[in-house]
Amino acid sequence: MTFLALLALLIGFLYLGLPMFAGMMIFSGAVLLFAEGSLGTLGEFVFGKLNTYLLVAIPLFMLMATFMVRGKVVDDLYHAAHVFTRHLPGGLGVATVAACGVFAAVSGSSVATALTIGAVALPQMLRYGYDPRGAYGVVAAGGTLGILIPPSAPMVLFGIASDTSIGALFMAGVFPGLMLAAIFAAWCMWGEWRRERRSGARNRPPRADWGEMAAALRRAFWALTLPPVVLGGIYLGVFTATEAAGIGALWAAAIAVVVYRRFGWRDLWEGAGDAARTTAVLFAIIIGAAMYGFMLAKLGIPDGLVKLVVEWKLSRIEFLLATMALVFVLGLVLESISIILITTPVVMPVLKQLGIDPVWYGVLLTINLELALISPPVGMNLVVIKQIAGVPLYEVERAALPYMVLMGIAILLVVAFPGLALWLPSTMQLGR
Amino acid sequence: MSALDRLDRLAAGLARLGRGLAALSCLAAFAVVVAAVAMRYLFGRPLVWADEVSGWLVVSTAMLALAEAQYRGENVAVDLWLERARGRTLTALRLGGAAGVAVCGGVLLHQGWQMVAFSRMVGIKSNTLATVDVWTIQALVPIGGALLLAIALVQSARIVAGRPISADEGVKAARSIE
Repeated sequence: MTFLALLALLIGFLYLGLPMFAGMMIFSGAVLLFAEGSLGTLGEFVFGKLNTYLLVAIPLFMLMATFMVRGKVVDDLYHAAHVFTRHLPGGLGVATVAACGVFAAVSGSSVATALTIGAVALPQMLRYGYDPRGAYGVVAAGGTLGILIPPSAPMVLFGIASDTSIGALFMAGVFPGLMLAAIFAAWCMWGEWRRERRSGARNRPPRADWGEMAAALRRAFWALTLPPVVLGGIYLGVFTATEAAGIGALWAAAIAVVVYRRFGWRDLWEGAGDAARTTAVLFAIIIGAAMYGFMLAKLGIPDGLVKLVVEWKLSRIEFLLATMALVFVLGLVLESISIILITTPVVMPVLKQLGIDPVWYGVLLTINLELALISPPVGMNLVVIKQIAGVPLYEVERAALPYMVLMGIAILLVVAFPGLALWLPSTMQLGR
Repeated sequence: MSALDRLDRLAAGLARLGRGLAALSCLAAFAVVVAAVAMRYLFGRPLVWADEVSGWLVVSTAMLALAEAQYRGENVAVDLWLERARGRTLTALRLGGAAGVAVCGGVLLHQGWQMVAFSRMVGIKSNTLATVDVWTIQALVPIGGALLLAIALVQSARIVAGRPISADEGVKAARSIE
């Protein structure tokens, strides 16, 4: 109860509009001062939280994404996806999901994926008469794949917060990510097929011939080499996640400079500045959320939750579903990073007690956070699509509703079949 | 040009300086990680200091760029009430936000200063580079706190005076972290 009360108080405080990091720091500091009489060694705490080798991966993955965006390789990715899928019902939607999936594998960010693919895909979809609501929904939802298909900044943070192998988490996200992409694509195809049947009009371009497909693939080839370099390196145990981020950024820069010739010193400098600023924003939240976690630990809340779960004799599945419900509710009012950092220290002792694999939980949490990205009222991908399309937010919210249901189904599937997440990490070359 | 405008220019300059140094730190961290991989696989000579130094560089990236993120209004906030508020309520909420950040900057400055003083007194050295005093790296916390405090105080003053702040036009791009 204390945890829920503190959480509700924090959320109320954050709704005053303070930057989240400041809200969490002030709230936690005030509770600590009240309960303990001092802030303790806050300076060392902040420095220790930020001075973590694993966190180095985050600015480097951001650098990699920035290089790919500034190199403008997205147009070729989308073109290739469209050439391969245009003859299918809802082909443009399927192409958008495919392009989102590939871009997710080079960006690690859902909002960046929605923003980048949305800017290319939405005008095309609307120009070719794709149902506008369907278009908003698929770009908003497809963008969320950014944090499930590795690399993924939220997974890095969950890995650090829960002391779980980031490489294993990345691998665990691959099949659920592909499954979710397939579910989204199937939904697009079914929707368009139904529309065609109702209207009796079939408005699809012909299937691309082999020459056209080969040409499209040639154009997108170098961009498509990035995911195997990053993920293959981690899977084979050649790189740690941080090293893979560095090599990925180097590879992305090389592609942008040598292949696309659209990347100069100015792009490098501005890209580094963008990555630095985004890192600062993220790390500020890490400091605030870490203080909140520190405060909860000082008040003995994680231990209290373990006792409660033992007393109530909750099974693994019951606990997982209850936690997912809580994360879903939090996703309606908070953004993803805060949710990870606020809940993980509390949930981890219970996961250990119940013998739940943290990698499995990490994937479920990430899908749930994807859901948060398209849940009103603070779903960031909804805001992105609203800005790109220039339509009222409620229209985008309605467009995203079916995808929320599809994500809920995906969560249930991963709960029912843990192997979807756990099989690939179990075959990795290095241990966890 | 009014005193507030001059202060805002100073704040913009500080934010840009922080951003420039942060960008350099980010590129340096990138170079260190790539060099560490190359040295290990190509030359068989791992850089034992690479992990520690890249960690420092990321602390530098984050602490120095925080001021510009605040200046541009990119720090993530739940702005539902803020968007609907008008008149005095809006001013109060905006002032509360800027003042809250100023408090955090002040706390980071004060607590960071104490940490640096303690490390200097004890003479703590780096684990992998014995010539480096750890306080020189830890000093990034109070420096970042001071920059943040300065920016947030200027923003607070402008809000009280009813003047626009640069963050008003900020493109919340920082939310791309999700």
